[in-house]
Amino acid sequence: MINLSHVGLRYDGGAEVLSDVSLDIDKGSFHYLMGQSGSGKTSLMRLLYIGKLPSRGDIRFFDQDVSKANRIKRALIRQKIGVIFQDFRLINSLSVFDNIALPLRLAGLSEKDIKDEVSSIAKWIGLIDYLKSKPVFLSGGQQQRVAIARAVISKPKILLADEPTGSLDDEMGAKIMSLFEELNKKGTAVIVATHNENLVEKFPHPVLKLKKGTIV
Amino acid sequence: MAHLSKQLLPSSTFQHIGVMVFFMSFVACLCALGFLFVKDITGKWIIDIEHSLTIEIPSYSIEEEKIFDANHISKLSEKIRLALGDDPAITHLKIEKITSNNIMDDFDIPLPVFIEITLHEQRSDNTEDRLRKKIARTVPVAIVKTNEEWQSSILAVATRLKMVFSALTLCVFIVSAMIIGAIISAQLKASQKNIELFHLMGATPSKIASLFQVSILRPVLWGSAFGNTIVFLCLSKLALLYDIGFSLIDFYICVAAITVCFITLGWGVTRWVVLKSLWAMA
Repeated sequence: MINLSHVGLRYDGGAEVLSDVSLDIDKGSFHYLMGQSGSGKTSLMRLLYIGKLPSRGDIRFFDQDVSKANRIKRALIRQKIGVIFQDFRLINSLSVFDNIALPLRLAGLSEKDIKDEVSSIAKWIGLIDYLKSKPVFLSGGQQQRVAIARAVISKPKILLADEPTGSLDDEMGAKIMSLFEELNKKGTAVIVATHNENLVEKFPHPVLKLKKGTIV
Repeated sequence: MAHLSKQLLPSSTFQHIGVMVFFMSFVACLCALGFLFVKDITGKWIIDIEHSLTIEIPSYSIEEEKIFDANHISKLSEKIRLALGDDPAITHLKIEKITSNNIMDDFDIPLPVFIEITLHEQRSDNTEDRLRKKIARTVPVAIVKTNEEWQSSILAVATRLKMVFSALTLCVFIVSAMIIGAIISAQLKASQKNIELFHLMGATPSKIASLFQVSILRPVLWGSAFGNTIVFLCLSKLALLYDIGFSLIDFYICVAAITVCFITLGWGVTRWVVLKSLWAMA
């Protein structure tokens, strides 16, 4: 599904923040991405959601080299990736409903289908009473849940989550991890970047450890 | 698409474009009006002068360095009338004396006499040359010119005026394009985070550009419609009161063309600016 081969990344000609990273992410796999601050987790995630192209090496998504793919092909690949950002990246001018519905609207679904899908996931994630609210009026945990709902609503083939349970209590954290495992069982490849050792112990999956920009 | 567009760009975002298009459209309409007016006037002149020749019997001979008296000028004009009166190529001959006694009171200098000749529509090609030679033989001091030659300077001014109106219209569109480009660029910077999010969710640059295009469609349409309507209403009122000369249909076509130009311009500039800006993204 995703193949990284001797990938390096540097920003604006600076030093390499990722060097010689090679890994394969298969369909239905579940990985944690761990490492200390500055180890390159965010940069690797950026490459995985095609927010950046590698400075060297190859990245292939669904057997397509992203560096050589044109912008339309890259956009089509991105549509298959759900991302939960650490800073949530919600649009504050939009309601919770519209934030969650964004990927479906981009995919061109009808408003009726969007309403059904959003209501269903909002009920599950405990946001049904907040659909008309603006994200700024929600707590950190609620905002995180909106970000999660937005990432999973389009049933992506790859789910990338950067500290997805950071602002959640244990109960909600466990519920979110169960959702990820449920999606994973349906074939979605999940990569969770986290510092939380307890989470890894409670929901054990292979761990990719990053140290100074290299997988160890 | 409209829903997404509203989410990326709130409705108030491009009201400046609407106001700008309103003014620019108003100016473009006035330019079009000026162009049509000049075109109509010159068109009428050209139709009127196509079949005419004018003979001037001057009151002063440069070669002989002498002033003719009024009687002499009268005799010369009569001579020409007799020489040309029975020419089959001439349908009408009119001698126009400037004053009753053809003498200016203050300086006692006679004024020239003008003889206007209307030529037959189905004349041969060399008629004008033949008549010029005939007049030169009869009255050598007479000056013969076609009305086109007489009015060449004013026709040149009219042509220049038409060019000025066209250039002004072009300037209006160029300035509008620059302003739209600047507003879109500013909006791109303001919406940078949202655009990046849309981009990461799989929106193609073309799709993001089309969201901007949908957003500017309404202000451009409204601005253009208001600007044109004001000129249109004023002109319709004028047309009821006076004979404005040209067909209102021509003006309607111009108004429609200006609106279409503004929409095309808005869409084109928006697409270009957005795609150019998104080019930097992965």
